[in-house]
Amino acid sequence: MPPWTEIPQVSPFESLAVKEMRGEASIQESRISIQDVSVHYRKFRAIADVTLDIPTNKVTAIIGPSGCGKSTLLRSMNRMTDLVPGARVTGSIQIDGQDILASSIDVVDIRRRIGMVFQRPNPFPKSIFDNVAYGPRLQGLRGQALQERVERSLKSAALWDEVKDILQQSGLALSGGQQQRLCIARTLAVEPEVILMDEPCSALDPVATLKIEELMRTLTADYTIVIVTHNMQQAARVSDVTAMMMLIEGQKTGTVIEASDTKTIFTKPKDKRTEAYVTGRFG
Amino acid sequence: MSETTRRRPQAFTRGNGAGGFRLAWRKGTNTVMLALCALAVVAGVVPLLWILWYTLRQGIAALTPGFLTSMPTPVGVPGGGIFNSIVGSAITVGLGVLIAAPVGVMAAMFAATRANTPLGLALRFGTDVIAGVPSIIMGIFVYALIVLPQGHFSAFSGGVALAFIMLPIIIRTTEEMLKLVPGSLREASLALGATEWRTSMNVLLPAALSGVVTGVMLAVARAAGEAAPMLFTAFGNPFLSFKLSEPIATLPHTIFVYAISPYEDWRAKAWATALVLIALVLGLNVLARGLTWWRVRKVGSVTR
Amino acid sequence: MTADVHADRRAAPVARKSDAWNHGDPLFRALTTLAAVAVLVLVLAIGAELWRSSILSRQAFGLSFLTTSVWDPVAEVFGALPFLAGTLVTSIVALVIAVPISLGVAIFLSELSPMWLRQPLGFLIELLAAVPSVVYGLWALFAFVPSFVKPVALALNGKLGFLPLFAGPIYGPSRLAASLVLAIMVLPTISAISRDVFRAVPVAQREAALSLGATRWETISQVLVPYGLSGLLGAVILGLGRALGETIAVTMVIGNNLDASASLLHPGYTMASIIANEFAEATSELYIQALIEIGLVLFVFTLVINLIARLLIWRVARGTVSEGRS
Repeated sequence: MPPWTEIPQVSPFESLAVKEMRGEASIQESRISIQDVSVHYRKFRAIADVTLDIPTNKVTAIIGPSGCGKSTLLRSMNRMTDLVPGARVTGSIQIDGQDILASSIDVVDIRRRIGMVFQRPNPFPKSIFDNVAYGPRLQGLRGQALQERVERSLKSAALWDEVKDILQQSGLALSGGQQQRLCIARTLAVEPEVILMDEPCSALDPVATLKIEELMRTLTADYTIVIVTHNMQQAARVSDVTAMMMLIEGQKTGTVIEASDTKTIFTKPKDKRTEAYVTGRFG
Repeated sequence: MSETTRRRPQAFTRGNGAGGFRLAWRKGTNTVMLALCALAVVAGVVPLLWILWYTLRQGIAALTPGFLTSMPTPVGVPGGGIFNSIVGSAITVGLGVLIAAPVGVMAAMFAATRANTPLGLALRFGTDVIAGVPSIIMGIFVYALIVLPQGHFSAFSGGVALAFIMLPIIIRTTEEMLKLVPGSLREASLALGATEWRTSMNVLLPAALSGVVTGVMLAVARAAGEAAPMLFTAFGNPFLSFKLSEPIATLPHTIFVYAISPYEDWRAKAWATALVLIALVLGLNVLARGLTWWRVRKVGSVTR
Repeated sequence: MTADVHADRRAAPVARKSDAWNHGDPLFRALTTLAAVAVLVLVLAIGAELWRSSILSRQAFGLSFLTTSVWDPVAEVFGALPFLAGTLVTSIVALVIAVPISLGVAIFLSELSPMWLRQPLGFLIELLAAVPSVVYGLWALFAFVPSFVKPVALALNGKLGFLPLFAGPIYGPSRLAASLVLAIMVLPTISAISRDVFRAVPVAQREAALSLGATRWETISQVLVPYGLSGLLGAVILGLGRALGETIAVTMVIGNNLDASASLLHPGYTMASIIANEFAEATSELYIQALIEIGLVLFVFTLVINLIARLLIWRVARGTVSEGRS
């Protein structure tokens, strides 16, 4: 094992993985364990008392009417909420036994390990190659290893065949669906463990959407995926586990009211409100 | 143990490019560079504070009662003041505003309503050009234009030079303000049968008025501090004069002349005059800012 | 028939701005057009007048005016090369110092500063631009140069004096002093525009970089700066334009000396400062016109520089950074 891994880390993955290699621990079935998490933006409480388990190597969908805090919940998982001035996250988000909300956690490393794909594709105004290579370059990858990483990522994102001859062209010259797959390739290139997707298909046409949904299923072989979507059919098609979020009665604060495997949520939901939402009675 | 755990060791080796030394290096660089940015701000603010404090200190020391209201005395004679310079600045700047404000506001109205025509584009281009002309060149231009044919320096030429310097400032700020007035206001007025002229004077201009006033204030602040053009136009005058056809003293020109002179008490007076000038200029700037802030609070979002 | 058509047209409501213009009020059209034309006439007049009033000098020396170094009012031989060089040297040194600091300020104001500090700090930096040049000169002459520039010059001379750039002897006024004062004077210009450029970069770009595990500095230097590069370049060039034309403050601290050495620590001359310094004493027609010709050269310089800067900034404002379909 390389010597630098012996240096004390605060990255939750490394420490547990090291232990696992030595046979001292086992990875839990639940990749992310969210407990009693609330997010406040200054005085406004966006989400409250959310408890949710995100299982490993599966697609978890978070659904609910707009404004109930789905994106906020998602962004708290890779601490993108930190970017909002006045944001406060309470509770604990455990990943492999370590709470990523603790102040001792290295945020930069967390964000590499928990990647994010955004609603509108946001490629950098650089070439396709440089977009995907951006993350690995930060890690110090160069030359042949870098090229291989970029190719692998583009292949995993089902984009390689379409762009392999135009790698030097600007990423912005691609169509919307291609740009989103480029952003996915870019995220894959830093070799995350979890991929968070915030309504990744809402800005795309149906054909592009289908491609990305197929991609999601293939990616579960190696990654844990959490997707926020307002499209219930998509959630039903793509996810293994679904969490239903809704505003608390009479408040502007959202919370998870029910979470279980997708089939149950859509056929025999326990909560009346979930039933009303998935059958289209409102929302 | 499930299927997934057997895959986990793969996951670990996949992610091993990152940690340890390189990450620490990157974070260290991050801290250093961000600290340098904060240091840059200090480097930017310190000169301003130094100038203000030093001018205040030296200026107050040299300030005598009646400084603002008495005439300059010969070198070495105590007392004396800058009354003629104050009057001169008021006259030249006032003349400048008189010329530049109407022309500037009219041109801005043209630019706001006819932005995409050839003349409109040329106007924008022309305004930028004039804004970029160094004030000394403006001074030489007015020298060749007015002083040479007339054969003498004059307050009038000084006012004209300042007008040219103020013009682009007034045009730009007025144009921005006019653009911010909602188009619906204009259409409503025109639909009621008002002519373009009445619409502009009675509806658009009042709506944009405080912005225009702000623009004029900033232009005045700029013009009041210009010494270079005065070297070729107003030229300075040790005596009190109200005539436009004679040379006249102005505050910045007086500061310049006193500052580079070999006389101790003149240099002290330069500080006192500088204090007066900077109080005036900064005061106008703060006032203009305050007006903008007040307007935003009152109306909501009329300005950026 | 025609009457009806006309009546219909007159009765149509005013919908587009151009309609209003054509149907509108001749007085308004006349006055505003006149004002617009007056502005353009002014631009042309400046160039024309400078050209006209330097005719003797231009005819006497032609292009060699820009390449010879002899400036002899007595013998009536005039070559402006030292002043060109002096202007370029002081402006470029000023930029070398001002650009990193300005970018640092812009980055701080747009990315790092806490919200409550942003407005007041931004205002303070803007006030730097409001201080009149003559006050800068006064302060520089009696406070800045003795307390700061002279010690720096002595240190430079002490450690690096073997280089011709930092050769002694050291008087008070110098090109270095002028460059430092210019740096302070152009800082607010460059940082204000740069700050706007940074603020115009979409939040999504920052989010993308940070979510890939980049540090804040990596986000700023590898994503934001390249994104806004043409605008930043425009800001720097605009600052250059300001530095080229700055007169009074420079005149007061540069020493106004025809020193031919390459040392930054020696006094020197710029185009603007020689005009300011010698105009009042210029006796002969040729002398005056030679000085005006220097003014013409300065005018053309600043004109070209400002145009390039405006073009770059205008490109950013129009969002030409992103090409292709999205």
